[in-house]
Amino acid sequence: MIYQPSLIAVVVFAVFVAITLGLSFYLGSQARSASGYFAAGGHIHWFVNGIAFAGDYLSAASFLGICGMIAFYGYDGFLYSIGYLAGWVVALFVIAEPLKRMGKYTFADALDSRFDSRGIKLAASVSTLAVSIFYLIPQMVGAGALVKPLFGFPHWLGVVLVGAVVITIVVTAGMVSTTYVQFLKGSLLVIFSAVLTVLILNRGFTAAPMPAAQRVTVTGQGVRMVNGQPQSAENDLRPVGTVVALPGGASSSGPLGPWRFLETLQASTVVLWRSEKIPEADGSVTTVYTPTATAGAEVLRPGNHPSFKGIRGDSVTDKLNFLSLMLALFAGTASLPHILIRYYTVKDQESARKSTIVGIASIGFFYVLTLYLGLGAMTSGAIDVTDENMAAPLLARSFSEFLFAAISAIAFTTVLGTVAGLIVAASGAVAHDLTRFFKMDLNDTNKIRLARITAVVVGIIAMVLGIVFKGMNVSYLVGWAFSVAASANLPALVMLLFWKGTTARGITASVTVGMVSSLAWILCSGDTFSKVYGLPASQALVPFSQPGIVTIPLAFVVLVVVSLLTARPPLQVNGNQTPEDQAG
Amino acid sequence: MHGHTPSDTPETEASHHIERRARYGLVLFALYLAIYGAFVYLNAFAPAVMAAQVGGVSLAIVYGFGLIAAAVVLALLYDFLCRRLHA
Repeated sequence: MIYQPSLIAVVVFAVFVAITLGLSFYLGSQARSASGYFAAGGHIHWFVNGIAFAGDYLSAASFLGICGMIAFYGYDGFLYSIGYLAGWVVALFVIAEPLKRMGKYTFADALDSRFDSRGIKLAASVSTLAVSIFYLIPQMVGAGALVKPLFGFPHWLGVVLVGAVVITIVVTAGMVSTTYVQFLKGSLLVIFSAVLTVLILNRGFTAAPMPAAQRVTVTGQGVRMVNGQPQSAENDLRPVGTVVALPGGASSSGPLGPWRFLETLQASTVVLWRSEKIPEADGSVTTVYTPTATAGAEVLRPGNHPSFKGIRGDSVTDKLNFLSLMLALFAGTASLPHILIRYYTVKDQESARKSTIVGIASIGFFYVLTLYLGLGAMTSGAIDVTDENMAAPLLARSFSEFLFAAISAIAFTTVLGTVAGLIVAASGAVAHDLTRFFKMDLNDTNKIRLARITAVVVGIIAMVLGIVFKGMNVSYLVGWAFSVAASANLPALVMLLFWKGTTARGITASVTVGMVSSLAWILCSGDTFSKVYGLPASQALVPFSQPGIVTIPLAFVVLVVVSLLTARPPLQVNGNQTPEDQAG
Repeated sequence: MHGHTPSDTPETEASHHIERRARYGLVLFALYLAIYGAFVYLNAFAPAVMAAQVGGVSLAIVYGFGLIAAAVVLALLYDFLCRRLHA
């Protein structure tokens, strides 16, 4: 669809950026010490920190990706919501308080708290950088993809805009300004999603006739034809999102309560769209979008999306793939470096616990809303059949132009908040962990200087990657980040807490093997073959795409075996480490 | 919890509390893991069950909302138990 850039969206976004930048400069003086820069001095109130957790965690993939997936395929997107939230249970019950007790600025601090091992510092900082970069790419590509329909700017300008604003936020006030940006963004995202949900419930459903199929042809010369004529404002794709039958043959449901809304949909018939690409003899490619009347009961159960079809089949590898994904979502959250550093911004363990609970409540509430937003978009009559990611903003447009502007600006700031957290995590890994691996004894001033330089460098790398990966569907990189984080970081954290026999070399080996094996598995998987290399998925070297179910246990086994092999002799008296243990 | 004897730390009572909180956390974690595990298992190995209607909607919806609600309820319960420990 051709989008008219929205002046209100530009204004709303500009106001938000002005506020966040002003806040950053105002707070800049609080980030002059290393503790201020990396951990906001531990002064953040637990409630603010809890909402900032939501602002940190709910990335563009959560907001736009999940809403789009539900709008196009029904329940399957909600599986991600459930998995993403479940991960917070691990964070609260297992990780939060010990991490706060044992660390200072980074999660490597906690891993290393009993050992002072160079190996742990190196392995943990490399895994932090790897996970952060994987997570950054889809955020930046998302910024570029959003900016075009929303503001009318080219892709690169969106990426550079986000990069420049985030670098400024991080460089001026580190974790202090990052926290408040995430707090603002988290609050706005939850509040506006709730407003949209109320409007959806109030509108209810209205039955409409079955729509006709649509075709987009891209000719060899790159001209886009819609339904046989060149694409223009007059001849554009028709917006989609239809209920074709309501229970009892009603024409309209009127306002509905949250439960009645789902009951009504369960008993209705809606239209889902399937697309097929057909290469033609003259070198042009036609994509045909076909409407399919689908029972509501079918929409509200899992297994409609291509990635989840396997759970209704008989293939064991498809089922393992699903288990593996749900395990990575469960174990990944409490292993993401940009989430873990937020435990150091509060004053004590009790605040760490309380802020996690606030995080769980706000993120859980948001994920409940994603179901209504997705289903509301599915039945809004306003959706672009070619672009899943635009489902949430277009849903907002079906109510009012101002809401569209607000939701678009919030989607854009969603990218800002998450990217800022990732860049702080990466700069901590370099300035705090890597420098100690190289035995550089930096004072506070130099440490912050190095952290700022790292923030600029990582920000520029993210911008370049965001431009290079333009046009690729990179949302699966978020999945990579979860799998790599869960495999590399979680086994080491958990075993350190619960097994006294854990040694420095055990941790180093576990982080390294977890990271390398999960990455290697992903690079050899069918998903990567088809989506990245353009090869048939059947040539993949591993039986299914999600590594977690293999590589997370592997990292546990490696930790135990290496720890047993490098255990210190039992005659140790003073509780000091032996030289070989310290060598890591 | 890492093999400290009470004489290791000046805050003997605190380390006792830390162990109790960790135990509460583990029990609640195991409880949630069982609920989440059953959800994932049913989806993978008995997907038809998820289509069953409960209260007018699919079990998938009810269970999904239940998982989100359970996370919040268990989190609040954990906070209650931890605070009672300090009282």
